[in-house]
Amino acid sequence: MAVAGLIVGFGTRLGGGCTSGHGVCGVGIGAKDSIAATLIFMWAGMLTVLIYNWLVL
Amino acid sequence: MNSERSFLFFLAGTLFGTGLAISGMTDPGRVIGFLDVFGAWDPALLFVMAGAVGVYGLGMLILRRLKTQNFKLPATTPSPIDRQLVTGAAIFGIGWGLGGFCPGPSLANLGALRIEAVVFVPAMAIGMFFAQRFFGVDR
Repeated sequence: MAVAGLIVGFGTRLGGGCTSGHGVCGVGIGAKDSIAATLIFMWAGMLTVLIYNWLVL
Repeated sequence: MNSERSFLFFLAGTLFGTGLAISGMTDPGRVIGFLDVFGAWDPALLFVMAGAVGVYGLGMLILRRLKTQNFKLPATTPSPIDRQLVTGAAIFGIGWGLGGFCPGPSLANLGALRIEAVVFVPAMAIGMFFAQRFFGVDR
């Protein structure tokens, strides 16, 4: 959980937003950079869960 | 910030937190279930996101039409899609998939004193500090 927190904090700051910032507010006004960011973090999250499950299960 | 404005912020925060809790966004298990598209996928949060985007988008559209001077609206010109955005979003996605927490819900869970959030939030603050220290403030 501590590692996840570190990664989330770092990525959010570097990418300029999170699920609420890019995902809801950015996509809601149709900002292209936010749509790109949302697609990227969704994809990265899905891939991480896939790899995690593959390693653990 | 005057007291009326503070109260509105308090109200907005309460509403946001309540929405996150009711929709299941504060439950890391459900978030990971949503991200597990190749396994036992739980699409519920897609509807939460779509609902939030729809309501927010509609609200912004109405506010822009009103052309009121009383609101300060976010900029309509987005920042470029640069390396920093792509890298940051990818790193954030990995952390999100690992912990099932993103910043908003983790803070909401800190309010509920959930043990994962008590560990997660300080670590997130440290991560933010490093990003700011080495790569400057937000893009």
